[in-house]
Amino acid sequence: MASACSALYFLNLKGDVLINRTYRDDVERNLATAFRSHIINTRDGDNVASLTPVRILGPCSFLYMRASDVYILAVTKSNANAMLAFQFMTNMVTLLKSYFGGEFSEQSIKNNFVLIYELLDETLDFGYPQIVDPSILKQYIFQKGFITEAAKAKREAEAQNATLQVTGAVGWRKDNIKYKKNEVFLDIVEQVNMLMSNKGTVLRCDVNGKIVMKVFLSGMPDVKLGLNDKLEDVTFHQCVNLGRFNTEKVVSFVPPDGEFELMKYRCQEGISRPFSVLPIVNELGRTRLEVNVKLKANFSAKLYALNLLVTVPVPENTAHADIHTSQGKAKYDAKKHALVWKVKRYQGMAEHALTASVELIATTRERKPWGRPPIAMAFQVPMFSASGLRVQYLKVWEKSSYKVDKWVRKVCRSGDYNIRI
Amino acid sequence: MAPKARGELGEIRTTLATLATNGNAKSEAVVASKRDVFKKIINYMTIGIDMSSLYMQVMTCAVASAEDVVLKKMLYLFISTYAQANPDLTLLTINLLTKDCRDQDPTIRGLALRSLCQLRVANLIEYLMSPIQQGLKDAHPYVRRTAVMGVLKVYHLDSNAVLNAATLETLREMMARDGDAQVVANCMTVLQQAGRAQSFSSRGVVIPLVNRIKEFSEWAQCQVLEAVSGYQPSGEQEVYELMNTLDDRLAHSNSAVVMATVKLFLHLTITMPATHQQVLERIKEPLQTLMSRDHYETAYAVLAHFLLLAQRAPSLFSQAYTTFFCRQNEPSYIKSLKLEILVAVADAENAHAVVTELSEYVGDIDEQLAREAVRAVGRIALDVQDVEGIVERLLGFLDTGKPFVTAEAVVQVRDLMRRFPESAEACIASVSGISPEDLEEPDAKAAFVWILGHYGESIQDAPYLLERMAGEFAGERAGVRLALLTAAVRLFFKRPPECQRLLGAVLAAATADSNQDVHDRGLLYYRLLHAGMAAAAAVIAAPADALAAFAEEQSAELRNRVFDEFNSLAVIFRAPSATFVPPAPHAPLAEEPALAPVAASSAPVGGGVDEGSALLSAQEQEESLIDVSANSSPARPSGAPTAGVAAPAPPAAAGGDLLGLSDLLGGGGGGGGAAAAAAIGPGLGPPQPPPSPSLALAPAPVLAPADFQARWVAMPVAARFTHGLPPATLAAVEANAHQDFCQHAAARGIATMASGGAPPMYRFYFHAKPAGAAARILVEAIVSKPGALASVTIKADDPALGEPFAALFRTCIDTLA
Repeated sequence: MASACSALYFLNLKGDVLINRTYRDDVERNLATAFRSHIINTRDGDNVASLTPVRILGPCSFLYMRASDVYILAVTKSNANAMLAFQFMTNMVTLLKSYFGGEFSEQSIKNNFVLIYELLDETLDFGYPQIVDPSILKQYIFQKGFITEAAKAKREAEAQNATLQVTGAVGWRKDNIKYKKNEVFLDIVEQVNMLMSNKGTVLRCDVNGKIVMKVFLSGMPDVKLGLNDKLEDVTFHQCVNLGRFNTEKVVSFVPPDGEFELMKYRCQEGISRPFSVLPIVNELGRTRLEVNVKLKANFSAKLYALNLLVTVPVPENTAHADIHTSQGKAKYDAKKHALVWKVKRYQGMAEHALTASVELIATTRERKPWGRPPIAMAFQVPMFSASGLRVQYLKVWEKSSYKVDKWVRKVCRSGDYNIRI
Repeated sequence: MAPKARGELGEIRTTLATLATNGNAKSEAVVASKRDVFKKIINYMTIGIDMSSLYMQVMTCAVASAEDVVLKKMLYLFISTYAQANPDLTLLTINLLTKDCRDQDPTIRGLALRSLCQLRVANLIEYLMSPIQQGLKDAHPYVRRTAVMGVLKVYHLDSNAVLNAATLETLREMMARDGDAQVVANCMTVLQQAGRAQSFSSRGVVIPLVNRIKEFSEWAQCQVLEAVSGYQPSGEQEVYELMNTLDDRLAHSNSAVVMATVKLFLHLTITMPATHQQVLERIKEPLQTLMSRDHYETAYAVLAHFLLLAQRAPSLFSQAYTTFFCRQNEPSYIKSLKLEILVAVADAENAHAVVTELSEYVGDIDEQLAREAVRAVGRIALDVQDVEGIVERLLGFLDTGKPFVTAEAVVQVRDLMRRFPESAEACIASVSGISPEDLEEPDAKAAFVWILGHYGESIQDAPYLLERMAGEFAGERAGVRLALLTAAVRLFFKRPPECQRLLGAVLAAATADSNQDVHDRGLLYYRLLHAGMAAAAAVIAAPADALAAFAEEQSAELRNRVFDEFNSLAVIFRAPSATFVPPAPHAPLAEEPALAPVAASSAPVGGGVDEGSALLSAQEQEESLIDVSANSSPARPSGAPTAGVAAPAPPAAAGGDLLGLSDLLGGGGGGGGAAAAAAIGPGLGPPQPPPSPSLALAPAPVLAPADFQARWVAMPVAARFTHGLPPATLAAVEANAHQDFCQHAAARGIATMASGGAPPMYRFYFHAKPAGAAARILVEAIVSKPGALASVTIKADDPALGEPFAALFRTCIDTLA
């Protein structure tokens, strides 16, 4: 049970401490040095154990993660809960981002020491997580000194209010929000992952999706979202009434103000793959390689894929490649050891191909056959849903029954989209 | 940085002085510039410049503008950082904070109380209790929350202060009554940390918490779920009720909440096999979702849990094996865990697909991944033996042209042959295609040599291959040398004429080896051969039984212990927490009857070796005894023989005495042979008399608290005595919350079960285990400080152990310098 965090560190990539807070006296003060010498600058890079995000050094367990150019490190002496620690650190980054205008970096930390201290004190007490929700914390952290003498009278009332809201029935929403124009934006963002063998069998295919909302609504609105039943496993923002979802399959919630992630989902069944690929890569003797990659878009001809990028690996000793494509541009990238094919706008249902004849330098180092890494694809297809998820309705109720503008968008992005050759 | 810092420091000091004296302390401009200076100070403080000399000025400056919360917060931050360094000013600080604890603004009250509790100064407690008590009764939840955590802070400084004031009672009450969920959650934390986990064993406490769970913050929900998993429901009906109420937690967006729910469900149903199976089905999807989170760190933690579950119930995930296929961009620690899971879930149905996938990784550019993939295929070949094509694939790896793949594959093929001798024939053809020069890694060489030694009769040029490798004998690692030695002898029994030269060379080199193991084994073989071919063959070349399992595999018992600590670091480190968490400084002994606390402090203290491996080592000792029994030679012979042995062995005369042992060593010369005989003489003599009856203890015994309690009640008293404590020991007993003394005892094989008490009486419970025996020795030691006396009661399974152990324990007490 004891999952107290004894100290929390923010370090840059060199391992210098940017800021830290020690919550309990049971750990040494020079932990950052240990972290630097044993984890960041460790030489035994081959040893997988040395790279894991949870390590033991001496009597302490180190749990760390990296976010942009910063390491966040939690140190504990107890048999801590790793899930909780990582989730906490993730939320901490989200929290700081929300204060730093969406940015989280070494520089933004350096510019905000005082604020971070305040946050570190509010979010953890004696190493136990307290409140990490930005919308609540923002109301009683006063950094930037926006409380003036004139506002002092209001301050007490506000503080009273803010702390009460932490635990109120809808802790995530203040009740006196007003907008002239009431709007709701709903984005379905899907990431499709696929791995296909060189024989064309799909080894793995899944979709990780999320619904992100931007809500600018007055008062205490009640929102209902109807979805077709395509989801295999779903997790929701805390505002969602989970009981109703389980019984009626309706996502019903009182939304927080502004932007938030309503739900995440995942599915493996019935996925429409945006692209099928047929690769043929033949090694002709020692010095030549024939590449032929056929691509077909499986989505409706009314839609377009944007910024399609196909990376076809070639051996390291490639000297020259003669490439033809039926659309877009392609060239040999010597740094990546790959043929890179770019298409800005790829129409649905279209078929295109890349053919290339690759010349290799004959090498004396013989005993290293080419590993044939997979072809990788990157793209995004607006208004396409690989999982088949559809919004059937989005309703907003509020007692003043104002007019609401609703916007629904979809986008499907590539995750790991690989084809073996 | 010194000169610049000093310059800056001086500047700040001047500014502070001006701000403190000049102008209207309440004017906005002054407050704003004060804030700027404070910010500067805190920035310097953060980058490691010592600002403690400004303590007084900072205090004065802030107190003058006491209404400004921003300044106040910065002041608190400053003083809690530097209070320790300024003991003179501490009292001033405490006064200020105590005053602020009565401020009209709840935020200030809370902040002041928190800062007060965080001051790291001596004699703080006398100032703490009253503001905390007040805070507990505060009207505002923010203050109550802080006060509750304050109780825990005090508890860690001095548990008696909390116990005496019956504060825990207050907290228990607050937990049941308080309207603020975070206050309740903090109460739970404190009660748990203060060793009152049994507060959560009653239905009256647990059920309201479960019903209120949605009010709690996501972190507190984890806490509630964790607390409930320690609760024993009254019956199956109640288990179902709990699970129905909490089922929606599995869809929470916070991964920690989901995992805590998973743990709760698994533990609730542990005695209901059918339901347990359903729960496993239920949690499969949510866990897979957690794994696909954006953060690899979270995925890593989830996968570690997956692995544990997959090892317990492989069939459950055998359909979902594609989930564990690696992705191109994943970090290696994720891939490595996934491979282990794939091994765990592989069964007759999916093995072919899994191995096909693994074979892809063998061709990967990442060497580490390729190696692990070969090992994984090897493991699957061992586990799922009768699926076609797996062994063929493994053998195919021998010939990929990548030296490290070949090396890993040889090792796996060796293990396969040990486990399934019947598959040897298929393997030998492929193995014999390898030339020793292809192998660079010691493990691979040793494995190759092993195969040559065991199946040399079917490999045409085995003796010559071995001979080629033995040519480099001195340059090899000890493991390879040992393997060469054994292989040479084994093969000699099968193909004597071809191996005689090899054997001579290897034995000569081994007996001259500087490595103790190689040397001893060489000598042992030599003597066995000397004693007679048949006897030697019976010992060295006994037909190998197929291995049922490999010792490296984690025992089911150990896994169960890790499972008990589901959702903690224990799962990630794959070891019970007792092996990596330093023992709690003291188990709470106060206000409990003699032995109850032992049960309450559930963490087994000390230890580190699981019982399985302890048993194993005992077994090993036994085995080595059997080996030597023919001609026991416990000690290494004295100098002379080594010189004789070291002489280069001339080629043995062909024909005649095939063994030609006298020629093998000592070069046939009279003097050399005599020396060798003399050397062997004492070794063959009668065994030495056993040493005086002193007791050897197993290094780190492990005993569950409940087990300890049961044994304590059951065992007879073996010895009882009182013993004076030297001052050093008494100091060690008191210092560092008993830790020093416990460590001292642990170094002698006496593990601490629990320790505690308050001056002038301390109470300790120890346990020990004689090496190589199953008996247990339990000790209660009550130390009285005034007389520097320890009253010791020893209980043991075998009363004869009492006296020797008492002697040992006395020495342990006396030898602490």
